[in-house]
Amino acid sequence: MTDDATRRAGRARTGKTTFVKRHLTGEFEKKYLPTVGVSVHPLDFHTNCGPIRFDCWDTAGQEKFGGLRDGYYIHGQCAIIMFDVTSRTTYKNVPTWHRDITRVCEDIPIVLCGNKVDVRNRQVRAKSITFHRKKNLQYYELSAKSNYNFEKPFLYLARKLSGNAALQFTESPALAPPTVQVDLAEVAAYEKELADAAAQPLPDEDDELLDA
Amino acid sequence: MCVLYSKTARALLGRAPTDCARARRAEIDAMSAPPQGQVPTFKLILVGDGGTGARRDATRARMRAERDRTTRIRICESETENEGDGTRGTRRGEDEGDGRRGRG
Repeated sequence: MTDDATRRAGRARTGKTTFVKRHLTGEFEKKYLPTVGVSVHPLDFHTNCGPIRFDCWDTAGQEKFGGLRDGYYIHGQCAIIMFDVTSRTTYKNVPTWHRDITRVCEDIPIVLCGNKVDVRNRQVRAKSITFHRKKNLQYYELSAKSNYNFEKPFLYLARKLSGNAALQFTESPALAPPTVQVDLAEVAAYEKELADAAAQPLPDEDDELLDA
Repeated sequence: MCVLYSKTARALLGRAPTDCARARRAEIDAMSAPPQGQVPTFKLILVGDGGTGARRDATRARMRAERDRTTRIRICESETENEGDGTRGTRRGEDEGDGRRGRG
């Protein structure tokens, strides 16, 4: 099935693979494990405390058939949960992904990422995104295709894992050239909306996802 | 608990796990274990709905490998043909010799 056909069929795709493939070294050195059905991308970053590597596990679609096996999560040290801001369903499924991760990896740093902020018909409003506040996760809006905020999740995770809040990336990794451009005014408006929402009280459990 | 389960399973089945299962488990364990190296390395789990990208990549890799294999076979075949042109007499003679031995 082609990309277009997949999209027309309504299958939600959040852009995990697109995101991880932006990192060119990782894409070049990735390894596919057929028995687990996983691509492992080694993503290297340079920090003021030395180099750090994230072995980024990307699935091969097993999540569509009843979730991922424990082998995927075992020994996980950090996680990114991605959803697509143009698909409400992908946001509604975020709690399930979070539960699956924390069931196996009890206390690891997790980043929630809303991808595709470059797309015009956004369906998940910034102010509706509150799950991260309830679970004490970090949230970033991304646009994988434009490299917008690509490094943010990794910087957050690196700081958490190293226990050093002052850790900085000293050089940018080689990224694939952007294929789309984000509207900076638009993303600034989203950021403001997020900041405003953060100041509001959390909605009830049931309201949250219905409102998305 | 895993050990107990494994022992129970083996007792019930009356045989050790297959080599295939053992190899698969070893591979998963090796890739899941915290990596050892000079660069601090962390296993990052990436989840979310969808998941067609890596599979598409895998399919492409498989197709590429198949294409490479086909190309290699073609190259080998053409090389064999070329060699055959130069040494046809000798090879035919050897083949005939084998044939005679077989029939005898």
